[in-house]
Amino acid sequence: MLPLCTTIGSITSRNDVRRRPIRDLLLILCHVVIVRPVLAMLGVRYRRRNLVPRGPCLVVANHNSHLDASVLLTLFPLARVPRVHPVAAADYFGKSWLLRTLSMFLMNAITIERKATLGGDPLGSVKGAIHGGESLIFFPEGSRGQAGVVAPFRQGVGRIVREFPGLQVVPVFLSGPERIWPRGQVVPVPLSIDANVGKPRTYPHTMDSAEIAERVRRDVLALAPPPAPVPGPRPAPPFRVAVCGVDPELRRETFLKILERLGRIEHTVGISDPLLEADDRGVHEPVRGIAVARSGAWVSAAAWMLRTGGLHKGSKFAEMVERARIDGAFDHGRSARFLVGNGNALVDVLAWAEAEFYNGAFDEREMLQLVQYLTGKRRIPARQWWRFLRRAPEVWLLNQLDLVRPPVPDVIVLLETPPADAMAMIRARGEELQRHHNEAFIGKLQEAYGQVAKLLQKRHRVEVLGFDTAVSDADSIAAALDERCRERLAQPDATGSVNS
Amino acid sequence: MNAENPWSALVLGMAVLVTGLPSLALASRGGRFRALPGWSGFWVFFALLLLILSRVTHWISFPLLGLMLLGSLREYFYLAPLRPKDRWSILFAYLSVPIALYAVVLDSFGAFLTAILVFLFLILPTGISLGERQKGLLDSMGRVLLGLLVFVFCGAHLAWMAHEPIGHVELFGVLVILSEFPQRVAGRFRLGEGALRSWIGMLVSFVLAAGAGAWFAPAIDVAPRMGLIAGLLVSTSVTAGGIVTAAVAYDLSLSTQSARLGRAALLDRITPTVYAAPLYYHWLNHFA
Repeated sequence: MLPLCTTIGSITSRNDVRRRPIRDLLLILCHVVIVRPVLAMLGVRYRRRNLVPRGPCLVVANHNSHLDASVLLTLFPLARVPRVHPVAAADYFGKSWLLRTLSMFLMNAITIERKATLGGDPLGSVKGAIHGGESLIFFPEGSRGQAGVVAPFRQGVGRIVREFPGLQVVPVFLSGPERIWPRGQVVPVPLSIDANVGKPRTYPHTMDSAEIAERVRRDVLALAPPPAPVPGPRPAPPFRVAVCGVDPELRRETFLKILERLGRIEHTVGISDPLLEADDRGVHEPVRGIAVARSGAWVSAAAWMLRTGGLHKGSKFAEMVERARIDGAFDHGRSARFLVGNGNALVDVLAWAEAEFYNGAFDEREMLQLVQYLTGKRRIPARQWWRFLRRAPEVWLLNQLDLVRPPVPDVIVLLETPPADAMAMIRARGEELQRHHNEAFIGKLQEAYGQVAKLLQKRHRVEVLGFDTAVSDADSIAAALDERCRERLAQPDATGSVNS
Repeated sequence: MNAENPWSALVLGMAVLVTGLPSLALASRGGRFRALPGWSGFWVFFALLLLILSRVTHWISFPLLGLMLLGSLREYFYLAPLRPKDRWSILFAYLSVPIALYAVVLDSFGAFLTAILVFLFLILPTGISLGERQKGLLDSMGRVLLGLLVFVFCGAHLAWMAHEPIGHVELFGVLVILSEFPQRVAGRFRLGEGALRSWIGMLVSFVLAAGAGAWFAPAIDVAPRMGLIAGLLVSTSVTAGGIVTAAVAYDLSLSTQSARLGRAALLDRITPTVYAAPLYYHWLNHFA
């Protein structure tokens, strides 16, 4: 037995340069014969695996199972596996000869001490590997923890990032391993695995380690899918409030006030750029993950090509799509009680279409058709394509490319500003005047918002609260809405959404 | 491989091809058509599995079927998570696949029924109820039982068909494809808006499947009238399977789109198919 151990030990030893080719070959063989077939059987699905860089990188993921490292190793092509090392805890994997050999040989791991030792650098081996141009798989939580819970990240990841400023960090969120083989279970249960890969990024080395660790954690959590529904009653969808009006500054001011007020009642998310979160501590950027993150480059390109205009010109159209997707992703009702939108994709597109496409000539039947096109209930007939492509390309894009189905809000806060006042405010801010910045169009748009709101009120039971901005300020509007939301929540049949 | 009645395989291949090409052409229209190529691709493999079941020894075909059923169960349990304490019942559910298929190998329907029923209604509920108390017992049990009913009880009927003369399995494949295609093109059965289109799709699927059943049946020594009824039964079961899949997807908060294109796509494709297997098998086995 002893000679066998010595032989395996010498092969698995990374320090033995002469035997490295043999070790690499055995490692690749082991992955071809055991690791990858087992994971293929489990059914690993990768999202955006192509984002893993070809050069050295630090893959950072949540950690709930012994399977995590194997899954992350499969992100790399086989030829690169010998140069990728999961970082393992020395106190756990160094406990016995068997564990040590398994982790070193099957997983190609390098070990670190979780507790600092006097005079030694616990991250020494990690830093050495990065200096050598190798890639690392790092679990900053430190241990597997409770299944399905992402614990705070330790500062080690921040220290590595600070030491290697250009190092690419690849956030990955794993779901599935925590149900297959959670901590404390002996037998794994075959289920599927999802590995959601995020864009590689670098972090400024000027930040302190704790701050970097928190940023990395947020980037990992941003890739988390909405939690899977567990047996039991389903939570109500969030209560959606859309703040609409012709003046963006007034809208934003009111949006922030409402967000702050509703955040005091229950957890609230603000759909704007950037995404905001509000709770007892006030309004801040989200510390939890936001479920949807997609690249909008091709959407912008399509919008530029089809010449979308006004509020949804080019990249602004892609931003609107992204915001509507995020809005929709909260439908499961587990992440927020209130969703407040700085504008609303459905209402904005409808109002602009009404003002531009129909030139203010309101026709309820046509508008209802538009609502159906936008909510994906009907397709624009081919014979009408040219008309839409020419006059309202954003409606055509949303409908034909199935980009997003904007959710209908529960309450529309309509800010009514006299056109002359709106123009005066635009001029006072010194903004560059756009084609649509004139009193006639703003008046038409204002009217269109009113008509769209009435239509949604009539057909979708949306509650509309109109405020004259000359009389009501943002505080009083937020207070009125706060009161209305509390009333709605107090109703015994309040399910959160009248549209559900 | 048994070369007897080779043209039944050809008819199945033709059905895959005839529905596959329009599926590819329609996909560019988006919406509900986007999922059609995936469905056709699934049928290329599934038709191959049906041919293997029909013509290759059970020692090869049954393990392949077993793997497919295990894969489907795995996807199902991934999408319909149980309580953490119920993970053992998932293992037992997996175990029921080889048990059911072994009963088919023994060619004893009594053993098959006993194994399934005792397992489903006596052993499994006891297993789930054991251990510490946690809320959600009935919901969890419902999830396990539905998975086993669809992917073990119904799925194992595909193996039972392998005991029938060559051509029966192929006819089943043809009938399911012809029942599913119009319903997928027109959109799944629904009430309210778009109902008329889905009803037309259903009607077309009934006519196509009944016609194909009547036309194909004499070639496998079954009376045309029996083939026609088999077609109607398959269409009905496929429709029922589609309704169940849509309801399950809703309950699991999966959007129609993700149920058709995402993780749940396999379930959307396989459930209506295996749902039709028991009715078809028992009709031809006992009445035709």
